[in-house]
Amino acid sequence: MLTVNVEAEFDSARLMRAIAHLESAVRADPKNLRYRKVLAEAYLAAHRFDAALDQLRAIRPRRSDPRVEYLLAYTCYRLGELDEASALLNQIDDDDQVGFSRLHQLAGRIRHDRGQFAEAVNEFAQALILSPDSPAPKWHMARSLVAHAATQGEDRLGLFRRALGLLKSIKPDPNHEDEWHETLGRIYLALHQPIEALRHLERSVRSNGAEKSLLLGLAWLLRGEDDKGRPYLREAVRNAALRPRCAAYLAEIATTPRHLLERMGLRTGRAGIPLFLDETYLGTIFGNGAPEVLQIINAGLRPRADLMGRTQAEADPDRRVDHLFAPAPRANEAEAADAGSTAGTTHPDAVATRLVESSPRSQGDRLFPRTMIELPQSDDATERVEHPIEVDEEDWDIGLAELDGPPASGDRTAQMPIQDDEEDERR
Amino acid sequence: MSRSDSKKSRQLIERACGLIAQGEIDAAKDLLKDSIRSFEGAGDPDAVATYAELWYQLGRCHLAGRRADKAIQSFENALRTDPEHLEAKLRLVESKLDSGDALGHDMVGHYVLYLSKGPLEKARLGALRRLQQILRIRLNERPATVVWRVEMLEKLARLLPQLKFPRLYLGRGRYLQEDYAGAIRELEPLADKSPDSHHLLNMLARSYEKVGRLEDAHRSWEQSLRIVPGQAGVHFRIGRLELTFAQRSA
Repeated sequence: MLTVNVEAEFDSARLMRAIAHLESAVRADPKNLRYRKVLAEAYLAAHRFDAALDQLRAIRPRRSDPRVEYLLAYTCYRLGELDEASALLNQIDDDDQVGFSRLHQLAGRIRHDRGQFAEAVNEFAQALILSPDSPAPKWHMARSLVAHAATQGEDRLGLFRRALGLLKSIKPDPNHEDEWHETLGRIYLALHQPIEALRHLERSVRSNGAEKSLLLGLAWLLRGEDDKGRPYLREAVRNAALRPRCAAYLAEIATTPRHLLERMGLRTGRAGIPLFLDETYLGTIFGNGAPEVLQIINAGLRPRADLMGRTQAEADPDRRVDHLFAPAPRANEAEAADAGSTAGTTHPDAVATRLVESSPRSQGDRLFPRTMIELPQSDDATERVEHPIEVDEEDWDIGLAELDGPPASGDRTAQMPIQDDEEDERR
Repeated sequence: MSRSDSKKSRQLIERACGLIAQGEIDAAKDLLKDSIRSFEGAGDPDAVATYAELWYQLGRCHLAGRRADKAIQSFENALRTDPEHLEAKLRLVESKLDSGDALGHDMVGHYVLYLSKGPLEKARLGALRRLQQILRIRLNERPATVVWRVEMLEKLARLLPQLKFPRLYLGRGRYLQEDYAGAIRELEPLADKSPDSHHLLNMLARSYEKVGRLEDAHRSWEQSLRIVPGQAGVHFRIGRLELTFAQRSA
């Protein structure tokens, strides 16, 4: 069966040809709703959302079709009209034409964009139950888990672990490869794995945003390469929205227990003070005399009493602030990870794998709110919906209904072969 | 039937033929009718061939008198008596070509026979046209109809391999029977012979799509569109294929 996934990556030249032909088809037969629907799909593939919306709205009053409703909701979502997209999605009475998995995915993405990350995670989990082999819900769920971990206080470690497990289980599609690497970079930083973070961040080659600069700068710093980190951090703080985050993260690093920092590779001085806690160094990032410089140095040199021996995430479990690090793995997990290392050097893969593979023991492995479902662990789902939008048989049952009229009731005047069939086809 | 009866019958038939040749149709008719009546009275099972021949000759008389309906009746009587009576079959075809029964399914065998053995060129052409009408397979044909027409078309294609329409209808029939590879086998040679038939190309393209030969399908649709620009359905299908290729080649 031929399938079209409107979110896939398309060859632009062929896509333009497709659109040209489909537009010709619609011009020649504007009442054919099937033509309009496929043209809308082609527009969606080309990110021409307004044009797609026109076609879908032309179809909708005349044809009640869950697939059209879904495409309409998807188009509204892509146009940023989240309320309308959500309303349309709620109206869909699906009879397997769209696949519930796809509906949950779109609902999850709408929730994510509204900042309702926990609810988004639940929608993606529903999609995964229905379509356990599909990479799309895993990808979206991982993003929502990371976003959720950044803004909630409970068990960040579990959320990052789960996101890591999901991301490692899929091969990213080309459209999302950069974001996949960047998200993994963020997760590995949270899990105290700067080497792995660097490996992924440097592979997100097409992404040059301030967020990536911030993460790269922090990763280099944590690896003890202060000089390599500096230009990235300087670049990041040029972004007004990221400047306070950068300062907060550096302050968080400054207060993180030294043994954790040293395990990551951060350079410290004779008194165990991180070398980056230096007015000159920080001044080259934030600007000489900038208030953030003093705040960061103060945080490192005069840490709060409640932070002694703990990360901020552990000390502030209920505070809804964005922390760089998840709480450190439990002692037995760290020991297990160390046991997999050689000559006292823990290979990051060993730690990461153990973190991912460790069985769920805390609420971080649950979804939120806790009344909702667990993540699927088996493939006992009763419904599977493939990732690409399937083109149903009606679409590709080429022309039987279209070219032929009702069965002939009588025979017509004899005509010669071949030419006769032209009339036959025209009927 | 005794040898003398048989001889008498042959003489009688020869006389009737002579009368027909002289244009004395009514006299020939009377003679033949009397003979038929006497044969019916006798009920002699050994006289089948002669009895059939009498009906056949009577049919000829009706044909000569332009009474096609009666001629058809006579030829059918002849064939009921002797189903292998070749001349009766051929004349029946000629008589029925323009009748209301010309498109009866039972005529298919007679038309096929006439195409190989019929004497009249015009009637052969007529038989061909009738066959084409009877065996035509449309894309909305009922499955049971498709089955018997495909069987007859296969015979016809073997008998007269140079004909195009049996291959075309076979192509459609196989398509409807979901034998898409079979449809392609029938349609590809036709497309080579008739490269300007866009309908043929469209059908072939559909079959290619069904077996996943999308590049071939694309080529056929494009060719069809070059022949007849502006076909909405073909634009649509090329567009769909381009969309699929665009996704695949990404």
